[in-house]
Amino acid sequence: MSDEPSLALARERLEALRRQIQRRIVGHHDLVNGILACLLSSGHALLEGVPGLGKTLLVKTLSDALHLEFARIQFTPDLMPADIIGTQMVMQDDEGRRHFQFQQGPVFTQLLLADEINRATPKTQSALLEAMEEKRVTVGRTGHALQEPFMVLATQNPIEMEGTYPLPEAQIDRFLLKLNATYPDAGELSQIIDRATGAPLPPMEAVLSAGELMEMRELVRSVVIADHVKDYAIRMVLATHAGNADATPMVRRYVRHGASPRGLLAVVLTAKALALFAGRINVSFDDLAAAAPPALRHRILLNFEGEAEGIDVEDLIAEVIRETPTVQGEARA
Amino acid sequence: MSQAASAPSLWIGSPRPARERLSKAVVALTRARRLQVLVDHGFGGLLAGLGLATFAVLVARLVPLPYPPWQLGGAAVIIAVALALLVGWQRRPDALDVAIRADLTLNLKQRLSTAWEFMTVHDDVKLAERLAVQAVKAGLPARTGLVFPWQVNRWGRLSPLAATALLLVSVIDLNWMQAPVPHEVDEQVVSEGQRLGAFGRAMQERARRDRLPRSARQAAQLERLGARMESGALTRGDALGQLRGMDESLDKERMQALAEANQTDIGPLREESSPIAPDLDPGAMLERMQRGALDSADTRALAEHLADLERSGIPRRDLEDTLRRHLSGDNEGLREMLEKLAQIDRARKEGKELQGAREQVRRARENLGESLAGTDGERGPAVHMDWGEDEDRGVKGAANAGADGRQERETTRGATGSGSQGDSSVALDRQRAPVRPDPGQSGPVLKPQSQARKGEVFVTQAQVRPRSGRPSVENVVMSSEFASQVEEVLSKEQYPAHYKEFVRRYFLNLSQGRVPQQQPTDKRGAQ
Repeated sequence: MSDEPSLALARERLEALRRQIQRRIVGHHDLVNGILACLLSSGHALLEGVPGLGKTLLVKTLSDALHLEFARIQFTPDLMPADIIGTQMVMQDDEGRRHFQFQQGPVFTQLLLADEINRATPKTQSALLEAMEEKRVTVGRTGHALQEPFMVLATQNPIEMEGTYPLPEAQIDRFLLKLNATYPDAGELSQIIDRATGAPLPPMEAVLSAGELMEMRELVRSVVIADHVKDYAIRMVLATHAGNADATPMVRRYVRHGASPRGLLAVVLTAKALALFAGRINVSFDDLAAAAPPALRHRILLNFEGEAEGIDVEDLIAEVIRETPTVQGEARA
Repeated sequence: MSQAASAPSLWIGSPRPARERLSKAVVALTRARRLQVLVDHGFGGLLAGLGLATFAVLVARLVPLPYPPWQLGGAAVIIAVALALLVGWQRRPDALDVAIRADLTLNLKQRLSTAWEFMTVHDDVKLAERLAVQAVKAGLPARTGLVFPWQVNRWGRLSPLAATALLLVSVIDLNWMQAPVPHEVDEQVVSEGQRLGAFGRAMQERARRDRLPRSARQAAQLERLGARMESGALTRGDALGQLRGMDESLDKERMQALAEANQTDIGPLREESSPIAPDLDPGAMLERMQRGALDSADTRALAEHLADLERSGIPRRDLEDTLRRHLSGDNEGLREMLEKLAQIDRARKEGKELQGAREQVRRARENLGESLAGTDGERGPAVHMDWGEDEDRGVKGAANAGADGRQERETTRGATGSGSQGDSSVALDRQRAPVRPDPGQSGPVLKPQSQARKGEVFVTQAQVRPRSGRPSVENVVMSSEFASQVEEVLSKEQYPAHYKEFVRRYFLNLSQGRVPQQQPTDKRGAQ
């Protein structure tokens, strides 16, 4: 159980990390919050946005602000699984004897940037499945554990879909959150100009070590959630299923598959992280409502009608949040 | 806890254990919520009650009911509010539910409810205490009334509208709502309406003249009923229903008038409908006495009617003594006696008027086809339908020997024309010698049928007593060959009832190839 000093310390560290990120990144508060929530929830994040919004820069900034090993993979159609996880190479020792030796791929790191992940073939994308879920890779008959903490931050471009391979459902479900990079407003653009075209910024300072990050992850898991709040989360996730009695009209009409149990865990874990950000030791309805869109938007599959009518999953989730009652029979305000 | 101890709230400031303090706080909140629920239900009940009251008043104004509209409305409101409060009282809010609501109301981010749950369900008092302290810091107030305040909810806000509707329904003219569904006008109902309306007007005049308030009210109602019947707005069934109500109302008023008269210390009334003494008007005498205009003729009249007055319950000795004292200058005794006599006289007049009106109503009911045999025989005069007995009409009218009775009969005849079957004098006569159906002497059961016009066929059944020298009416089914023409002619012309029957028989015989020989009875034609 977290005590007050550890809670205060965690908030202090988070603020320091946030300040470091904001030295280089303008705006993107929700994006930064989501990445931090993912970081503290032991999850992986999928960042989606048009080119030039600073997704890659954000991930690189995060790696600079953390005392973590960082690796980047630029996904291309000719990328092979072995290029990610590594391969067995024939090595010759001093005595001239040859033997196989596993050469680790870039996945053996702590913070992995999978840039434009949807440009690789599904076979290559799937190479990340085991690493993301079990924090280990298997080559041949040998398993290799990854370092903790391990986090994948993938980016993808929603346009220029030609020649891309949309992530399969099993792959996309491994991402705790899917975060949308939005276009900056005029004020933010002005700041971006100043920072990018002015004097070089001072180098980033690493403010959080791997050990401290692991402590904070434990703190997140110690945040409590009451049964009635848990019940609200369950009802909210069940409401994304068209066949459920509490499903909203839009869900009934446009949804083929609702959120998986992993989606529910993602909502609750993210909500716990958000509660910690707010200095609370309990999850609230608002935390769950805030966590639901990034945790569920990539886990809800539209049916043909929904696809044809161009239904936005964000609207579906908003309706679910709005219609799911917090207290017997009362919808959220 | 020391950090929170400085904050003024219902949670802080007590050295008691955390569990007890949290329990106390939630219990206080639960109490406040319960009161709030009660108030909410009260407003709901008020709105429902006002709605019900509006409906009840509307119904009471459209349909005659034995209760006044304001009583029904008031009862509806009181019952609805009481029921709502009862339901609200029984809906005891759950403590966890209250904590959740407090969280939502005060934006405590589920701190209080989580604290309560972890204390009561998971028995984690330490965590509960931390959360409760956080809740206090986040704004849980000391006064629970601020969390669950009494406020006018949406039902309460709608109540003024419902009250306005109730007010409007109570005062606006609802005649437009009583517009009848288009139906075929029943000539008999119209005819009876004319007769009753005329009688009601005449009765009103008499009541005003004689200062009879009960009779005046009933006469006004009777006139209104007659007007509605005359307008053709009522079907026969509706008219009979209204007439039954009127009959009951008249009887009730008459009994009350007589009961009031009986409350005097003179004694019970012996003859309800006859005057105390002919040519003696105690009311007029009392007025003259109050004006100081009582003269020797009045005292002489009193002395002459000592026997009549004694029959009214005043001992002769007292009367003589009172008159002596009056002659010696002491008027008090005479004034008291005249007041009592005037009261009795007025009650008798009321009784007579109301009885007369009741007979008219009952006659109308009979004429509209309702059988009254065996009903209400013990209180009012039994009126027996007896077709073919009309020759008695007018001959026995002496029972209503007063000028009022004559005026009444004349008015009635003038209004209805011919064709009415008997009048109040006949009815009074029958009161004294009620005709009871005698199984041994009863004649054939008649079911005359006629199809006057398109629509329902009314079947009337009557039992005719055989009488010497009078032919019994046989079961008649009119041929359809001339039926429509006959009825058309009869409906356009004013014929006495027995003449109508005669004309029908004539055409019936024509249709069967026989020439009728029978003539209508001479006495009927005399009318």
